[in-house]
Amino acid sequence: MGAAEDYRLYVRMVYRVCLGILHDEAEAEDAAQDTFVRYLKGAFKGQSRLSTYLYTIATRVCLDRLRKLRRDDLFRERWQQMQETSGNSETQSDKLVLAAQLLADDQMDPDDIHIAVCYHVHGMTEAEIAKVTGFKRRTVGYRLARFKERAKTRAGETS
Amino acid sequence: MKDPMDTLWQDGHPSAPQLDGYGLGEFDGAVEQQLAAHVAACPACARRLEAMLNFSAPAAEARILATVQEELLRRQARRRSAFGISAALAAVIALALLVGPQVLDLTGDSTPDTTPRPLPSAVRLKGAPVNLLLYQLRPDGPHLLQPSLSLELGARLQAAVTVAAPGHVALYDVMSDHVALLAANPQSTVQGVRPGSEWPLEPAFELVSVEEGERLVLLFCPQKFAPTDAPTTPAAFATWMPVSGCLRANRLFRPETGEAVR
Repeated sequence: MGAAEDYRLYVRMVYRVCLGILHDEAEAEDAAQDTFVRYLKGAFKGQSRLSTYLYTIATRVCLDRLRKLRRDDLFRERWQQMQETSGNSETQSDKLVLAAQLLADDQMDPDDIHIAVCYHVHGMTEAEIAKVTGFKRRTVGYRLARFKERAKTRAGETS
Repeated sequence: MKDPMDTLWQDGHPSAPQLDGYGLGEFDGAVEQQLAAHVAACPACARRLEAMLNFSAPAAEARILATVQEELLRRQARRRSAFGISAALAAVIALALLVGPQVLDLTGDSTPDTTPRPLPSAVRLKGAPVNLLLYQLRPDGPHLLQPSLSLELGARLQAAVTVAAPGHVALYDVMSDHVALLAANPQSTVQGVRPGSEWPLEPAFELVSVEEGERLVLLFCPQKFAPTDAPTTPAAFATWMPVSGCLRANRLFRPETGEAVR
């Protein structure tokens, strides 16, 4: 990716991914910009397709933002409302709300949540995640299992 | 208790990045056909793809793109600046090393040896070409000391030329924050790369000697041009820029004293 036209193609995708996670246009815009800045720093070495790489970076940027934003009362309130309105419907928002809940859990490793969102929300395979994050595939599987265990506990606590 | 993961889909469908990649035309051949067949047969994925393709937020996209472009420009400017400084420094060091031994004896009466040595017609490295030209400013006008040396350098690579030993040329990769030796003549020490393999520069060429009173100008140009078009008068040459984007090192300094060589 180098020409402006190339960026244009991926800007839409990255912004959509960010908006899907953050549910806030201004935040998503900032996150998309951060994603491209990280990309421009040159960490992409062709280890995956560019779309997969940008998805992963955008997700991480958004989760980092969520973690920070959840300290803000208004944002926490908004997530609470989302959780209530989404109920038990089988939507991606459910998974994101779950991830967002877990973000507030100090015992949860941010990498676990990142991997879980890539796996459960974006539908990436363990191998894909391993390739793009640099973790071993076995580690990805272990972290997913740990996330699931924690999510179960959390669901039990809130039901 | 309901397993929260039961609500999460995973297998049997392409991932979101795969679908996006498909929509963006990242795939070809068998994979593209496989994805096309799946989307045609799977209403859920067809809806997902349609939603992806129909998504549009022109104002936000324009703002993001503008920021990305600004960042790109900033980085290019930083690279140009790093290139300019490094190239000039490298050229100054190179030429000072070259010129130094000749000019230490300022009263010397040696005969200039301006016979060009055999040069490789082109050295191809990775990426975009950079042309290096060395002019000698004699009283009768500028003289090209060597043919244009074409270098293919990496996209993030910028060229500088210096000498690892007097009379021998080495190439450096001038990155944003460090300088790494890429290739050199066999007498030079090569660090961090396999000499003569990834970046072959064989054989290294020797620059002609320069006498006191003869100034050297080293030009780094991003594209080829006809070096014979150089102005013949010193005054015109002083401001000559063969093609836009060239960098030139006009001033030389002695490495021992830092004194300018005139």
